[in-house]
Amino acid sequence: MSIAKILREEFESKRYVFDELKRAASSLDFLAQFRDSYQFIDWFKATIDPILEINYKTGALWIRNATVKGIILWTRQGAWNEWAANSALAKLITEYRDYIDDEFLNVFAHQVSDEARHFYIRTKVLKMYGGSMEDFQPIKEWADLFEWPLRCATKRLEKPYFQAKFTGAFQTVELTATVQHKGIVDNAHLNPEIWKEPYRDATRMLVEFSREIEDDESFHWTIAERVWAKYATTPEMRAEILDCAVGALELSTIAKIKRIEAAESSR
Amino acid sequence: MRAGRLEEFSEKPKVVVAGNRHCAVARLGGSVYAFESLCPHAKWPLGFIGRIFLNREGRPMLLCAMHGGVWDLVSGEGTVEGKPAPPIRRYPVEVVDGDVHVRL
Repeated sequence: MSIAKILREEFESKRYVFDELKRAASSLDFLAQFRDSYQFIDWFKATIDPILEINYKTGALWIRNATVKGIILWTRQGAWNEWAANSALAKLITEYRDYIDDEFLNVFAHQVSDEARHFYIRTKVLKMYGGSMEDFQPIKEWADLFEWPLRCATKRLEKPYFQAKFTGAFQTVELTATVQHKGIVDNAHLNPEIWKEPYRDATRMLVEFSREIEDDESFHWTIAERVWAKYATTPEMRAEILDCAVGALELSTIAKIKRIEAAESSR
Repeated sequence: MRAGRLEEFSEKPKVVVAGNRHCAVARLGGSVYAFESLCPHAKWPLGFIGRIFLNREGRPMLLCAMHGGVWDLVSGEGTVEGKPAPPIRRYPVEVVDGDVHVRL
């Protein structure tokens, strides 16, 4: 069975998590039960644990079975993702800057610089494997995912809702990306095929980069934690955050599986 | 809170959520352990990345593979990269007719 099919089945079996989150988002009484914003954040992370497990496997199972051709296809989409992330973030900190607190504006700018570095390294890895971005067309689900944060956040174009909703949609994806890259780092050594010459250096760079990106994505997730810690103090705000976060979690997990499906189609 | 049936648990912790309360539950042989859902070091959920095992002295330990933190599930003490980490909160567990109950 293909890895994409295994992951898709696991995803279907974990759909109850999204149902629970949607139920929570629609109940202000439930959301009023949290003592403070920190308790809400902890509950959110505990609840999405099964989804993080799938995301870990999108790195772990994929790299264990990947071919060089598959890595090239996967990396092309990855490089496009870095570009798309920066397009959304650049828009955020320019067109929407009036809806963001000063203290968060600079942290978002830091993320822009990280995404630019990721794009630079991904295209370098791509070249080392003999690939390029020529004629690349993104997978539809990824295009949808990067449109989602501004689409969802602009439903409440006012302070402090906008920034909380945006981070719900965007930085939650960074949380899933952290564990995906952790899966790659932990498992790449189990696939002898990708360590053969002439690709050994490219694979070493892919793994080192995944380790580097793991820390960056983790930092990007903390932007959401900072915003939520400050503002997720009311049931209404918690509902607005979940409104964007649930959609992002669902979309990003599906998109990762699609990316593997596309890479596997090269076999 | 009722966490589930005994056979649902293994050395890989399972995060159990009931309303706004949650904990992680794991089992080694006939012994069941309940502890906080998130790693005390960097707050990663312990279900997808945690494991419990017996150390050389036979003490139950929790490993969080995210950063290599290890906690003693009896004393609650832990270390990350050899340095002391915040202790892990543990909860009393009772197994009644194969049902695992955790007192949070």
